Amino acid sequence: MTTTTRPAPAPSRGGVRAVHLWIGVAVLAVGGYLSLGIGAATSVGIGDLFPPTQSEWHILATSRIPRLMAVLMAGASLSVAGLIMQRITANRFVSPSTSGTVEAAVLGILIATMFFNSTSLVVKMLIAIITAILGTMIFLQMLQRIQHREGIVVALVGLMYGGVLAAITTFVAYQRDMVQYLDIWTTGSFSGILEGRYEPLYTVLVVGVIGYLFADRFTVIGMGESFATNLGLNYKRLLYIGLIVVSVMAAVVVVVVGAIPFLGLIVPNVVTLLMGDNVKKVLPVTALAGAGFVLACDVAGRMITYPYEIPVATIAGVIGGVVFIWLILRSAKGAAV
Amino acid sequence: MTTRTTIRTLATSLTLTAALALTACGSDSEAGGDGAAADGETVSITDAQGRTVDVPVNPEVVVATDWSVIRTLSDLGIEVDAVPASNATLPEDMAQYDGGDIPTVGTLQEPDYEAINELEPDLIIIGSRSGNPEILAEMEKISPTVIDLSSRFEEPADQLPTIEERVVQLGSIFEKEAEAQELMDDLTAQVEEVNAQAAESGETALFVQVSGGTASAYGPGSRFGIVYDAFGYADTGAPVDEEGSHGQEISQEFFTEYNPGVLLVLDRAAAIGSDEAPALDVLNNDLVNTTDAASNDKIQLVDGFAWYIAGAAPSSIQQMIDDVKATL
Repeated sequence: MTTTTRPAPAPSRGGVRAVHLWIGVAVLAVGGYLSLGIGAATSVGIGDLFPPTQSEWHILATSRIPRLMAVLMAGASLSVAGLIMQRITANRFVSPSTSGTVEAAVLGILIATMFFNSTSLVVKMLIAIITAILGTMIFLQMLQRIQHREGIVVALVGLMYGGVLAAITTFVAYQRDMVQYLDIWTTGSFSGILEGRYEPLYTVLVVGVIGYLFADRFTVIGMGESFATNLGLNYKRLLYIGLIVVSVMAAVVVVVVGAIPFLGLIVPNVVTLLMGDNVKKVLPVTALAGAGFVLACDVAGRMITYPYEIPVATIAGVIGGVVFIWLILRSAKGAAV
Repeated sequence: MTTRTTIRTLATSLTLTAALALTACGSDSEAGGDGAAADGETVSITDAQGRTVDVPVNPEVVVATDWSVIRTLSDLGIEVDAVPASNATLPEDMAQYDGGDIPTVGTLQEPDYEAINELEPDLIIIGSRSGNPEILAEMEKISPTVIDLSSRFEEPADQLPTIEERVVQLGSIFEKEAEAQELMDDLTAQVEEVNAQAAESGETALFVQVSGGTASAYGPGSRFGIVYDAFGYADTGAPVDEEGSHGQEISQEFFTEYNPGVLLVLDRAAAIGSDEAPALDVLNNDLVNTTDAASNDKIQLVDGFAWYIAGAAPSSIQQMIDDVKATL
């Protein structure tokens, strides 16, 4: 009887309802629980978690729980960063890894390692954040000078720009005999994550909250500068807030874990395909989906060559590559992009 | 002691045999003092690519692109005329190559062909990272005599014999075959001694490479399989990849599961000349600290140049022996 008073959700876009979030949380909880039961130390299995003995707890607290937290935060933050980036540029192929953000962060780590000779994560993080912001800012400037700002062109420009940054980084590293390090920074892996070695990642939670608070405004500025200004928004300021949120998230993950390819590109795309475009509504789902995707990749990486590991970046690269091609083919067929 | 004496006797007799053989070869043509290359005297070398090459004895201008070859020659008192650029600080016994007096010709992977060409070398020795048919073909355009003296081996048991063959071959080019053989015999005897002690200790060992916070394990059959095969440590029982030549990424939990009694650590960063995140800091954590290796105080950092860069030279093997001895 009351159904007529409620507008029916558009069937093709689905829309986000609370139940989706709860399903996501439940799936993630099960995945997280399974992940806690997997590791090289067989003394802690899935059956040992309730309750763990003291020695089992030692493994959990030192290795498994930090790893799970790192996986979830890295996955969620890179996906959210991708989502925000896609909105503020109004382009679905823009993400931290197709806009030079990740490459700029890697350049920052190289600079930090060269000039500060410091093993401190915090120093590296700060410099990587600064270079990531600068790198992304240059990309946005380029974007405003491009005639065809739609579709794959922007992503191609971003990839080329990222390639130039990576080339500079490689050249400098080559001069300093540090090329071997680039591999480590550009290959995301959780195998080294232990208690005490990942905590800076919690920064992304703070930044994520800021991103969520501004989510609606990101949706609006994606509709264009004049549109946003007409609605009384400060376009430039919002653009910079988005840029900082995205850069901080990407840089922190690159410093602590390494780069995870395609993540920021494919997760937000698949989520918005299913759930629609409203940033505030899809942001939590995107975060959950990204966390779940990386969790799945990490668990697979731990099981395929057990008790050895395959870096999460390798697994995500294989799956992500396939999804990326699917998205491109889909857009080439003329589907709404 | 009796076994050791036997080995010494054997070594001496081998040395004598080799010396005799060399004398026999040399007596075919009159030895002609310094710069004998002009005499046209040659030795026949079968190299790592299966080619048999007549190499002039005591060639004048020698370029080598592999640190194992260069260190072996250095051990025999021979200085080469050009070396690859070095990432790492070279060990003391090779200090002459560190100052820049001797020209550098490209890197390990990428020789600078033009620079090598300018030197007009009588002999080019490639090996290891530069030991492949493509680089060989390029080098043959530059010098009449090019050999690949990589120490490649199929079975772990072949590693030391292969290195010995190469070292003796290098010796024979510079009329130091007996000296080379003597060096290798001494090392072989030491390795057997270490092997007996390690086997007797009953400890398991794990060789790990640490690079920027990530650890990789190397088992029997890997490039560091010498730890198990020649030096006699038992492995930890961790499953070994069939391929095995590269290390495999592990988490720190791996150490608690396979609990090695001895941990040999290669700091790849230090080996390639960077001082970021020292390997032992990466391994100083609550998980590694519960292993037998930690409680026995047997976590040993190994020499990167000897193990990683120039593994097939007498001084490097001596360094490996010393590193392993430190854990006994």
